[in-house]
Amino acid sequence: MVLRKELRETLRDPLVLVNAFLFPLIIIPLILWGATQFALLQAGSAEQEPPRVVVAEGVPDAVRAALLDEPIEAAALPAEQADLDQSDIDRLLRDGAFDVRVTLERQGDAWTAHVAHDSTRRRSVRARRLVVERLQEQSEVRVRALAEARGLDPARLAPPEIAAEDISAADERWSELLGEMLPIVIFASLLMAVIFPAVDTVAGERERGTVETTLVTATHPAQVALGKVAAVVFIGLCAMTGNALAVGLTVVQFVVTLGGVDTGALAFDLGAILLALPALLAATVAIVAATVLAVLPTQSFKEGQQRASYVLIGGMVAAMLAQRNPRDLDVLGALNPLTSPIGIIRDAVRGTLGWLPALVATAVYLACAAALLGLAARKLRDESYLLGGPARGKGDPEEPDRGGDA
Amino acid sequence: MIEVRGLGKTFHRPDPIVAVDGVGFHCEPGEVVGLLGPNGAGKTTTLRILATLLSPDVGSAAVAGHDVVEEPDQVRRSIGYLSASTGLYPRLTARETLTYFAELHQVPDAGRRVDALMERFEIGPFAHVRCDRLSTGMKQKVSIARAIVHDPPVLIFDEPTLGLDVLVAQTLLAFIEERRAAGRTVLFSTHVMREAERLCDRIAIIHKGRILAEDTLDGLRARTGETDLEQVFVQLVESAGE
Ligand SMILES: Nc1ncnc2c1ncn2[C@@H]1O[C@H](COP(=O)(O)OP(=O)(O)O)[C@@H](O)[C@H]1O
Ligand SMILES: [Mg+2]
Repeated sequence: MVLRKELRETLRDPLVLVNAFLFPLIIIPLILWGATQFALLQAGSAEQEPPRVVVAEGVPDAVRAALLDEPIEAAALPAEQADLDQSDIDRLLRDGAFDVRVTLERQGDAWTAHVAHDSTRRRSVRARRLVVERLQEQSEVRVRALAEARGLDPARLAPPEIAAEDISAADERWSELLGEMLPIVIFASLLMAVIFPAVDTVAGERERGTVETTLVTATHPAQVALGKVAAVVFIGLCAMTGNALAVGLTVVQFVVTLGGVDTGALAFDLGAILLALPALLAATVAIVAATVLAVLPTQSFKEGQQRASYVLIGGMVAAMLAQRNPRDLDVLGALNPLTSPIGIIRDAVRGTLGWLPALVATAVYLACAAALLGLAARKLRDESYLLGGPARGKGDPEEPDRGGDA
Repeated sequence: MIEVRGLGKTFHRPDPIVAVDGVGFHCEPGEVVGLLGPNGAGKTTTLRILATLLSPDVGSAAVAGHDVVEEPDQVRRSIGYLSASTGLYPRLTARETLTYFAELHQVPDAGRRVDALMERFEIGPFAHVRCDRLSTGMKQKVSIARAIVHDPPVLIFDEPTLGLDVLVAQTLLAFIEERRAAGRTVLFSTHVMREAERLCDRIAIIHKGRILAEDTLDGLRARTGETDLEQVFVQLVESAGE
């Protein structure tokens, strides 16, 4: 009943909608989609434009021919070449008249190949890569020819082949990637979605004077309070699920189109995700409780929001610290409620979440939530925190209370 | 109906402050009692204790035969409470508000009751308007209707006319009289002498957390030898100061 009313009311708040749903569900995928398209576009255009290379005089014909083979296109400096000094040539290169210029310098038997390029242009970078590859090939050809001329077996000169092999399965790589990206996004969206409605139910209701009457009805105040907490938690979980799906799908799209991973290889471990849900539910309750506790002693809505944003920042910092530890969550790690939520989400995504850590974490969050809610209840009982305190502007010292631990 | 004895409450934040100090008074059924005192006298704190929102440090209070500490649930069922800074949920409509409170009060047949109240307070045409778009007068009507949605035997109103324009305040005072006629007990706080003069069967004068006098208007006049309530008040405060 309280839950229904709270949901109805909260969902009519445009700000909550924007914060919890519109922003993550629409903006994030849009940005990622845009990034994908941009990357594709860049890749595509580079594909189409052949690198244009200027090979200076004095480069042996065989090398020149090798350098200017497909897809490289030969480019020439303007006819009045003789008048060009080095800076003119550089300017032409920078302006995109061509992409790479190769000159050879010979000192005795030693050769130096100068490859001038412009690293700010993708096309030029690509051209340099191709040119360098071909120059290396050519130098090998030359070494081999020299060896043969002296009666050596060129095969004995060959450097060892390096064959790098990725033995990870595609789906493992994929879940590793998601395991890195998703937790922080999910956790952030949860915090965002939960904290501001939580402020609203405490400081907002106090400021509007709506709490006092709801606490004087046939329904027990604790029940009313729980209904409110439940509503906030529910909204938070909805937003989180939505976000996880949105970001997850966008990342899938990203990986499939850019990384060339087969869609079929993408699989989630449903069991691990189900295992994480009770833990996340409990964690959400604890976050709400912490927010409520932080906001209770404040005097105004503004101050409440400020306090809540400390909770938000604290949560994010903890999440980022946790993010840096990519090991699977163990029981010991699960005991730390500040960092374990990230571990839970990550392992759920990777499918490596064990039931024992999940259980321990759930218990820890529940204990935290109970302790925090208990503290909040105690504060409510002996001081009229929820009721707006003493009348303002009446000779009353209005110094804000600093202690959250009295 | 309301029985208050030796009630005391001290706040500890930020500094210790004795808000209510040995307050005692009583209200009979069908009686309108005014708790009259200046700002900071302890009116709100007293009424909050009666409404079970705060627990007293010392003393006892009973509403409709139920002790506020021992049986808070029973007390909450018996009172219609209108707080000083009462507000409405801005994003709920008038009808949703009343229905929500009817549900919170576990009113049987809530829909019918809400209809009746909307008719009584002429809210009908605004039933589906969100509360933040209602006029001040209409808001106050919804607030009052909400406070009595469960038809409680005791009404506790904290400065109900504060911040209202004259016309709305008149409607409210008329409503309080109507409740008295219906045999309900009304306890309301105010710092406006004229309101107390006009409505109250008896007046409890509170100052610095203490009750200075509790009597009918005539009794107070006789006791102090003043006719004007304001003078009565001033005299009581002065003689208490000695
Ligand atoms: N929550 C509170 N914390 C600290 N002091 C309070 C609180 N509520 C009221 N007071 C103080 O108690 C005294 C009585 O306040 P109150 O009952 O609101 O008076 P009234 O309603 O008659 O104006 C005042 O001095 C006020 O500052
Ligand atoms: Mg007051």
